[in-house]
Amino acid sequence: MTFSSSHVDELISASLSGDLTDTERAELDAHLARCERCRATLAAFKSERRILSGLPTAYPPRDLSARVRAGIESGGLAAPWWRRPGGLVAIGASALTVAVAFVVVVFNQGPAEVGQASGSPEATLSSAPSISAAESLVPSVAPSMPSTFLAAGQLGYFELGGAPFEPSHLAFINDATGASIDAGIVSGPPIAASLSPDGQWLAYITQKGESGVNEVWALDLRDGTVTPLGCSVAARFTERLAWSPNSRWLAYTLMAVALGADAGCQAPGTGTDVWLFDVRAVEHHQFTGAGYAYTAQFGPDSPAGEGQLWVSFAMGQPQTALLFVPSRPGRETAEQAPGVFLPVVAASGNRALFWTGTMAPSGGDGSEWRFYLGGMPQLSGDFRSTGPASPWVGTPLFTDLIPYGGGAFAYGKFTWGPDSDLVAFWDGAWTGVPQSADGTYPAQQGVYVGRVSSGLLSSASRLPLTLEPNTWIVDVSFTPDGTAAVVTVGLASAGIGDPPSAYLQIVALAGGQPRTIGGGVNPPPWDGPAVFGH
Amino acid sequence: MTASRDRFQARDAQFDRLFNQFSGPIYNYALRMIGDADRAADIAQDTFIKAYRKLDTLTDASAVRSWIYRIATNTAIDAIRRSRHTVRMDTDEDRPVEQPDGGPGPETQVLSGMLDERIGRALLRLKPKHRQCLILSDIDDMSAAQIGEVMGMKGGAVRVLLCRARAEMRRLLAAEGLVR
Repeated sequence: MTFSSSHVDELISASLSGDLTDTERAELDAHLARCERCRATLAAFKSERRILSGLPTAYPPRDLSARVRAGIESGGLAAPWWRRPGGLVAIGASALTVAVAFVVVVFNQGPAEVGQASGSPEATLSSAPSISAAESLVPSVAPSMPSTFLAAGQLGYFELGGAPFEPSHLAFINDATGASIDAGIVSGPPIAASLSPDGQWLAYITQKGESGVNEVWALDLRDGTVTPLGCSVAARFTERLAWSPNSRWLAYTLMAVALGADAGCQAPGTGTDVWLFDVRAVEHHQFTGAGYAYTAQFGPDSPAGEGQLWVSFAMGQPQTALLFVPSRPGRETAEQAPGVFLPVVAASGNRALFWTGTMAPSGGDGSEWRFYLGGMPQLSGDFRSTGPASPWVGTPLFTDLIPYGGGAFAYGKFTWGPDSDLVAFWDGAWTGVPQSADGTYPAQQGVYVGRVSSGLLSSASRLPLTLEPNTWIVDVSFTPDGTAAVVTVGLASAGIGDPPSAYLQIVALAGGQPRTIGGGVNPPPWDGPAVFGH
Repeated sequence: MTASRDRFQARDAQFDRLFNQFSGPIYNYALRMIGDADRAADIAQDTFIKAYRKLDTLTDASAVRSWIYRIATNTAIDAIRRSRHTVRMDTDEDRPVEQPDGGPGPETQVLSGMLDERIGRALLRLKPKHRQCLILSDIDDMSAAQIGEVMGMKGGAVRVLLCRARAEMRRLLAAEGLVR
């Protein structure tokens, strides 16, 4: 069949948005196979669509809801910008805003899923208390009440057992006492865990078999009740489990997934958003509705007693904003950190680790964000410094890595030690030129540990772990006294019916023989990740 | 009296949900259509005020997205008609197109900002209807049928318009050195 070039171009254009019938699709595919010009047009249209869809999103004016409410009540529409006080002054600023093209963050209050109060958008940020970066970053001291299960300093870890083809029982074990809590049957191993500041709740993420989906759970350590909190595509940067200082809220990240009703595992919406679990109400609900929002960390409560959550938004230049919990339309943001992604603040509140770089969506549906240019973990400046420099202008965490041509980390993980001086970085996917003669640095399998006070991280910072080729670093934490790193090392499944396994290795930073928990039995269990009682 | 108050509160709650869900997308839609942050805020504001007044006409909850975008579209087009100095960046024709050198370091952020600026500039040079359907398709991820609901056109006409918009955008992006 012969088509006119304009008709083929229309089909090509329509194919990008899924607007072709099956017949048209077949016709187009056949035509593309023999038309080089049409293939070039398809590539160009795809490229154009990718460029537009990757544009960062702007944050609406803080007073928009108040202006709308005022307009509704007064019965009028907006006064033109040139008639508003300051309108002419604002022209220059707005032109600049557009010139740098939408570089501020968007926050879209998500739909209430469960128990979310519907507020009126009457308040404005102008009435919000001013919160300095230093004040907002200092975590509150957690209540020192003893845990019912894990006393201060005690090591607890997950263990997943079960023979091949049998249901996997997950247990949480107190290493000191040997006591355990049955967390029920899961369909995959735990890969992240976080204990609430009051020690009453344990949040964790498990893999759902090999489906590429994770499940989020909360275990009440007082009575062993397990609450499922949702499913998520196992996307990068979605494994943060953030507790509020008062232990009421857990923030976590879900990337929308639908495995079908039979799987009982769905997250509504599109893209990636932050969810909240309210332990008082034992309810969870969607917090953001942006589609590219990620949980970073809770800051201390505001002076008015509100929770404040750092949420990062993945876009070309990522953004991080401090949002009130529960959400209050009209005064969503107290602080913003342009260019910052997934900060984690030290216990002292003085400094943060965070990502910078240029991000882009990847994956099958283009909604999983990674760094594609210059992705580097950074150490912030001192938040208590009164100097003119923004603390969010960071220092690269690695002192000897040079991202030639923009090739750097696509993703990775970092954490602080308890003394706010130790730092660890692992699972870093380096896309640039290898930076050692043997081509092994930086290694995704490596765990790099260093100190802010003594030169940060370099190739010499790698922990001396003995790892098999098919192992991967699941999680890293530090002992409460900061003398050892606790590493969960995962071993890939050897085949169908052979469950994945993991062991915990406690590595003294001063050297010496590491202590290993797990392994050694057949089939080996999955042990880890670990947490410590507060 | 109580029934009336309840109805009023239900309407306010419905509007709050609408605002919370769409204030960001509508503001961004207006910003990309008009290229001016202040005027985009005005358009978003007027859109939601009109939406509040017309809330009773929204009978199909599944069509709420098309409905609010259609109000925003009409508001934006009115604004474009009222003022002809919409595209300040059009005056920037002679500015040389810088090519990223691929170098490392903090300039990557600056390069990204420049990239966004060039895309925004190309977008604002499109005819309003071309710009509108391209934004709805490629940024707001609407199908031809949904775009038709927003723009008041049949799906077939949207396909033709969208194809022309893509071809024009391809030429403008090429002029900015962003595609070949």
